[in-house]
Amino acid sequence: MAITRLIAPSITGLTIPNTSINNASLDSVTALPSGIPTGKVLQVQHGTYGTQNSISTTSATASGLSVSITPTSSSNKILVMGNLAGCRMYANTYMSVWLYRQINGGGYSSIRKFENGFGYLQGETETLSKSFYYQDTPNTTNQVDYQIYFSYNGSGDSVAINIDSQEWSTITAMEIAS
Amino acid sequence: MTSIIKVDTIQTAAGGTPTASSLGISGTIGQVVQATTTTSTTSTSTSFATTNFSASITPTSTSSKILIQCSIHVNILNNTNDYAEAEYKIYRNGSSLDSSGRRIGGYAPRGNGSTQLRYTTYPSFTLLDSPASTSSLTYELYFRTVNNSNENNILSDGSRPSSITLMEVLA
Repeated sequence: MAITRLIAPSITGLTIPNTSINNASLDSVTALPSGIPTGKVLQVQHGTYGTQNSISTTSATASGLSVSITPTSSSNKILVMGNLAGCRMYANTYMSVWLYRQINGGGYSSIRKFENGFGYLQGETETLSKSFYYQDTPNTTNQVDYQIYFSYNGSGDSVAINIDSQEWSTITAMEIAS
Repeated sequence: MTSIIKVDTIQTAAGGTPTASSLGISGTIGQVVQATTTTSTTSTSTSFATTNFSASITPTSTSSKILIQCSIHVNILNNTNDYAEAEYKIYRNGSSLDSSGRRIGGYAPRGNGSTQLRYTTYPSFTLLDSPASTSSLTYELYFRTVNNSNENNILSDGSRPSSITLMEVLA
C-alpha cells in the first residue's frame, strides 16, 4: 500500500490531478509515524472442513483443516484460531492435537502442540470439540499454510474428527500489524 | 505545523463509489459487536431451539463478511443415566447458517457407570458468513439435546458468561 505524505498548513478547494501523484517517489518512506497504532487487523482468512477423518496411528496426521494467508510484512503477526469439531475418542483412547505450518510450500512442521491427552475417559466413548488459539510470527511475506494435525493415543480403537460428517471444523487466520 | 485535509466524498477515478478492495483495505475489520449473557437457558428438546442469546450487526457493504466467534458456558445433564449429548448451531435472522444442516459443535460426554451425568465445558466456535446484505443481521445461538428428554442442555447458568462476537470483515 502506498504511503502518502503531505506537508502543508492547509489545502482547501484544491484538486490534485492524478498525473501529479507519483507513488514511485515515496519509496523512501520506510516507517509509519508513531501516531499510527500497531495491532490493527489487516486481513482475515478462513477455512472449513467437514469430512470425517478417523485414524489409529500415534503419528501426527494431517486433519484436512487448513487455512492459507500471505502476510503483507515480515514483521506482522498471525493470530490463528478455530475449532476442531466432532472429536470422537473411543473407549480408552485420547487425542493429541498440533498446529503445523508450512511457508511457501516448503513442507509442514509443528509449531505448537495444543493437546496431549484430549478426551480420555476410562472405558467410555466421548465426543467433544476442541478450540484453539495461537499467535505466530512467521517472519515472511510468502504464503503461509496452517493445518491442524492430530494423532491417536491409548489402547482403544481409534480417534476421529467430524465424526458424523455433519459438523464444521473451522480455522481462521488474522494478520495483525506490528 | 498542523495540516488538515477535508473531503466530503472519496470516489474512484471513474467517479464511482470505492469498495474496500479499491481502497486497499480489503480484509480489514470494519466494526466489532459483542453480546454477553449470564441468563440461564435450558432445553430438553431434541429439535434445535433458540437459546434467546444473540448479537446483531449491520454491515456497511454487501461485499463484507461477518466473522462470528462464540464462547459459551455449557452444562450438559442427564438425571437418569451417564450419557448425554448436546449440539449447537448459529442462525442468522431465523435461518440456519448452513443449509445442509451442519452444526458448529457437538458434545457427547459420558460418565463411568453412574446413574447421573453433569458435564461443564466452555466451547468456542468461529464461523465466517457472507450475508450479502446491509440490513441489520441477528446471529442467534441454537441448541438441542440429541437423545431424549432426560437430558438437559443449559447455556450459562445465571452466573457464568457466554459471549457472541461479530466482526465485519471488509471486502
